[in-house]
Amino acid sequence: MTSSLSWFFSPRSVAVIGASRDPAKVGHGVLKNLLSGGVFYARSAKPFSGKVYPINPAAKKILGKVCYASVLDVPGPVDLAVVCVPAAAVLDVVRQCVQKKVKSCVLISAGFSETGKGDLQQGILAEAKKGGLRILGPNSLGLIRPAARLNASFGLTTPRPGSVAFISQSGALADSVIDWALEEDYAFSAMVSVGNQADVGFAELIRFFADDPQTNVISLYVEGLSDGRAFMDALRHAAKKKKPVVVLHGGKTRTGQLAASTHTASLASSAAVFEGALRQCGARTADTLTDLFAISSALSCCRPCANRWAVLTNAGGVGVLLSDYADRYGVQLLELPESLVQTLDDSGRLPSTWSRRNPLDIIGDATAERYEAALEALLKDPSIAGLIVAQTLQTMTEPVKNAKLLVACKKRFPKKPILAVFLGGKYSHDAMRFLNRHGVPQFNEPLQAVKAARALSTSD
Amino acid sequence: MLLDVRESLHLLERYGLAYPKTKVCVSRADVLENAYGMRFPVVLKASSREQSHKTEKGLVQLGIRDLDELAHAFDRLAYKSRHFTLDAFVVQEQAHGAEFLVGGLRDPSFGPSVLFGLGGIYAELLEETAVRVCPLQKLDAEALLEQTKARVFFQPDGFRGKTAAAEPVLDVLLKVSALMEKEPVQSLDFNPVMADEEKAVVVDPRVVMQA
Repeated sequence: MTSSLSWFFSPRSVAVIGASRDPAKVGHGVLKNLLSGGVFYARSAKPFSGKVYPINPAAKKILGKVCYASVLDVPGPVDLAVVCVPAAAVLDVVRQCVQKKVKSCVLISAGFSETGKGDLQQGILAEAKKGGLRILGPNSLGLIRPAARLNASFGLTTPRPGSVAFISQSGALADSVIDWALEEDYAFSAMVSVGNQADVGFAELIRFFADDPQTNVISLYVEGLSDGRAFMDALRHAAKKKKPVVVLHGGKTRTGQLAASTHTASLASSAAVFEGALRQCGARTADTLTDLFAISSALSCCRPCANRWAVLTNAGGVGVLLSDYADRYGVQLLELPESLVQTLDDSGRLPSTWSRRNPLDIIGDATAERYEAALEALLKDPSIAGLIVAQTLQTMTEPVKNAKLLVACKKRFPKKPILAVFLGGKYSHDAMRFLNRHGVPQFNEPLQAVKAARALSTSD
Repeated sequence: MLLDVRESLHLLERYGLAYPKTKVCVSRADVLENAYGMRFPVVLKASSREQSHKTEKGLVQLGIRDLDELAHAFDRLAYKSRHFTLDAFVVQEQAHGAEFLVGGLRDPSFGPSVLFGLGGIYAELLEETAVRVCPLQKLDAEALLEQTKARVFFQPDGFRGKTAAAEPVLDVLLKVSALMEKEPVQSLDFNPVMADEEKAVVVDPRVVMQA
């Protein structure tokens, strides 16, 4: 294995130290996640294919698995240990892991530098270093590698395998993201909760995922960093590897920073310096949590393109809003070439009242056939690099047909990103799901589509 | 620790950062004598380490057109500053152009960084500033010029008749980057840096050294 981090993401065997019979305990959830992929049901949750060893000196069997009194009693080698014992017991456990030559260790246990017990954390780190044992955490919620069927966390279940690596300084936040991912159909190459970053931190993980063939986009929730320079170097490495990095920065305000300092015990940088550093290294920023995943997901399924966009809509209002946001976020809406207007006029497939400009408004009563005529012409035009397609729901609108149309267009024109803005709820749900499932990013908010277009645009 | 005027100007010189012709004086006679050979209008400032916002406290007199006005200005400033400990009286040729803010700071995690944006008395209110981490490459400095509304001054039409050439301002940013990397400076605040079509000059340097 090229990186020592590989042991975290493709272990052959996992020990759960502090495995518990009590379903209310972390040590139970972690074991169950390993054995089944998820405490909660999801089609994407699958049992870990390697060996799983519960460690608990007081139990014989948990969840049908034979328990060992300590990691030293495990018969075979252990690549990854997930530790959920109280903070005071961690040092001994780490000593045993070193003795057992365990390769990597997730410390779920909390109560270290984030509560002022930095000395204890340092002691554990020194012990681990003696044996080359790498540590994720402490105060981590674990990690998930869907394609390896590895759920070494107490997150509720495993999301679909995909190409977005999500690294979060808040573990609990990552857990809600899992539930959300099931609903929104987001898919991940990995989810990692970094906790206090005593050993493995953002910089090393960014480098790892930049080199990871499963990962196309790296998505971060960051509150603070101990070494900003190493972080910048890692971002530059990802840029060189053409892996876009999208960052949501928490703790931008004084109040937020105060909350962050007691949360993960990291230094707060001024928001302006952090933003400057991101821009300097070519990383993208997200304003909100929903933006973070919307942008990441768009980057994972569309190729970046020149900043020359067209908007196709069946609602004037959505076109106006998209134009406003495009202006504000520096997304260029092209003037429609005359030849294109002519082609569409001649086709006889659009109503006489169509807008003849960008946004291209094909009017509220547009059917799938009308969308098809406009899409065809827009995608064939070489001056247009990317497309935002909006749909509002009227009695004659055909959301699923339109969704299928967009998916077919994506296949025919793979170089041109198509972003969908199907606005609605209950009766748009199937179409939205179809779009997301088939690699056409769908946004239920025009602003988000524009932010995604901005993130996809390579130049001004 | 805040540098006094002489120390600040010396630091500017060491890094080749231009400032308007300036004389640091200790008395009325000194001020008047030194003003010979300067190009009017000039500015007179009462410099005190205790006072950071000189304009608000009436410790700056702008647009002094001749020696007579300078003598009057001195008397006014001497009166207004009678309760402060002064380092010096500073006579400076008055600069013109667009006003920018150039700053240097040390971030706990990213280290030395350079800040750029709209300058002048409303700079802190408008917060039209952007930051890059040292060492700045030319591309980083160029991006700084473009990131905030201060970009308007580098466009052909400028703003309210004021335009600035990019090169001299880029040069200031790169020199401040080098300074922040080499000197034990905690923070520096050049507000304003005045720039026109030919040059960019640091009018009011405020430099705090690390403890």
